[in-house]
Amino acid sequence: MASSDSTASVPDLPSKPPAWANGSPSVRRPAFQWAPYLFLLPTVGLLFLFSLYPMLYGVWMSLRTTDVIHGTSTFVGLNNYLQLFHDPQFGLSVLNTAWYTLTVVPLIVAGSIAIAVFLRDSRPARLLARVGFYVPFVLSPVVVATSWKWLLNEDLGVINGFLKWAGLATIPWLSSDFSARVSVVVATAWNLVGFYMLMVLAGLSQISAEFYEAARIEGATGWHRFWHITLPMLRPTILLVVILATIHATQAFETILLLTDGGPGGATRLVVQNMYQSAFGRLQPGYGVAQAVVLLPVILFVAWLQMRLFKQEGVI
Amino acid sequence: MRAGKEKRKALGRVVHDFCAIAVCLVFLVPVLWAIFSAFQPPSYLFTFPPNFDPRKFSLSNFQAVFATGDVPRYALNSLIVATSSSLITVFASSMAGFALAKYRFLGRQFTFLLIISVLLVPLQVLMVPVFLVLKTLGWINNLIGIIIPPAATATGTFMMRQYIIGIPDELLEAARIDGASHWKIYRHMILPLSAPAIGAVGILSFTWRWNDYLWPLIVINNQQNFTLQLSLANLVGTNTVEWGTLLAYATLAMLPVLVVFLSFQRYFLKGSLSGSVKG
Repeated sequence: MASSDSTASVPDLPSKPPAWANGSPSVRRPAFQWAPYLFLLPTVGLLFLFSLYPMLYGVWMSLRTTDVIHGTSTFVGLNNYLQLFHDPQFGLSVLNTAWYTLTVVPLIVAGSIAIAVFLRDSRPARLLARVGFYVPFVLSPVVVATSWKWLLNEDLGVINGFLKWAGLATIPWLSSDFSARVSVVVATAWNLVGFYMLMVLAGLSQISAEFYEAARIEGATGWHRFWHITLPMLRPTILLVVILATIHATQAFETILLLTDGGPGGATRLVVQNMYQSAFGRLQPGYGVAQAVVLLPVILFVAWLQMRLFKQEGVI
Repeated sequence: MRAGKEKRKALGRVVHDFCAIAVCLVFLVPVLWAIFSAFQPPSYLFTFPPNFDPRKFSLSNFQAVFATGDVPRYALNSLIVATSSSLITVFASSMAGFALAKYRFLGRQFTFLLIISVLLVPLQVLMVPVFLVLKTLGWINNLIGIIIPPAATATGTFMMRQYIIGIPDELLEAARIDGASHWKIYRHMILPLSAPAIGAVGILSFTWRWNDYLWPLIVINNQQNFTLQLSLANLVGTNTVEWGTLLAYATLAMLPVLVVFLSFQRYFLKGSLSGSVKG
């Protein structure tokens, strides 16, 4: 293992897997073999059954209307999609998802860089941070939501308790549009930022001290060093953080569901929750899936970006 | 003059260390506060300034948790789900990682790209069609419905492949010349040699499955099959249970994950460095 001081050693990632087992080495002609396919079967089978097939089935479903009670469904063409355009609820959830992603992701990126740069020079803090900053990330959405609900509780929570005690006005954290949005963003950023902070710390440890030494000799200020050395050298790490945080942010649906239930009045209802309500609450699975299909290109685009990044880094 | 400068520098470092440690602690306040409140007797729960006197702490909230339902049963369900699902993840991803790392075959690159791209699409987005697949299979209201679907993970496959690539080819070559079958090589060489990666994948997926909420929520609807997370979430949703009880329940529900995390902390770090998402 890495010595306890270096925050993290990135495992060696050879760019090309060595070729092995093209038949026995004495035989030149690469023989067809079943073994790799059989080894892949469990993963690919699960992937097919619970990802690929549902994706295609979802597209098919989105073209139909299902009567859940009688178990019948009829083909309606693009009706579900057309209906989406006239559904203010869906429009609101798209808007919510947009502002949510556009605030959470930059907050996580800026936060993880700021905290990592602040902690990098302090050895005890770095050791402590490896545990402390990771803890929120290993907690379940249910626990995260419960903790924040308690902290932000309007009548009984400690923050409003403090405000009251200090003679200030209390804040309706989860029941007014704006503060509920802020609460949701802060709670998710808190949940995820430590994980990315550790990625940035690992990236920082790869930057050679010589660069900073040279800059110091030339009289560069701390801010200059950050702007002209740290940030450019961190570029690959930051890109990865942006992509992963975007994927992550979509998954925060569970925390938000428990924290605000999409309220007040739909102010924190994201597309995924809207879909969940259409499908399971109002029993319109076709309409629900149509929303997922609209979301899918965005997600595939992000996945594609990540793939390109991995390729650039020579991981694939 | 020079000594004074050195001294000031050392002092600066101590102050910096102190501030950095303070940042770490402040960051943890939301969880620490929940745990702290779980130990407050009902009469002190809502007071401000809060009660910091440990003599007044009490365990009554934890006793109350067990009156809310069959909590040991839910804990057992969570344990069954997390253990069996992560076992499947470990086997499936080590086999797939082995195939992708050490064989050259038609469609290798394609399969690898397929696995990491398709599995990156969050299950949240696919929940409706996956729910219908589970319904067809008759897995609704059954623990198997929350064990199997999340068992194939992009992270697991990726981490296993990266690790197995590093196992020397000569070793496997030698075994092959001795006449070992593909399965034997997997079973007796790959599995033991990749123990650190298997540990990391197993521990990560154990915590993911222990923490799962969405799957239990849509798959399970009778109390018998509740997991801890699902039953806690249900109590938080209704406003009939005391906050003290909820917080004690949350503390109990996070305890196993915290213990696993604190004992295997370096594995988690490894996971975060390979760029893993909750899978």
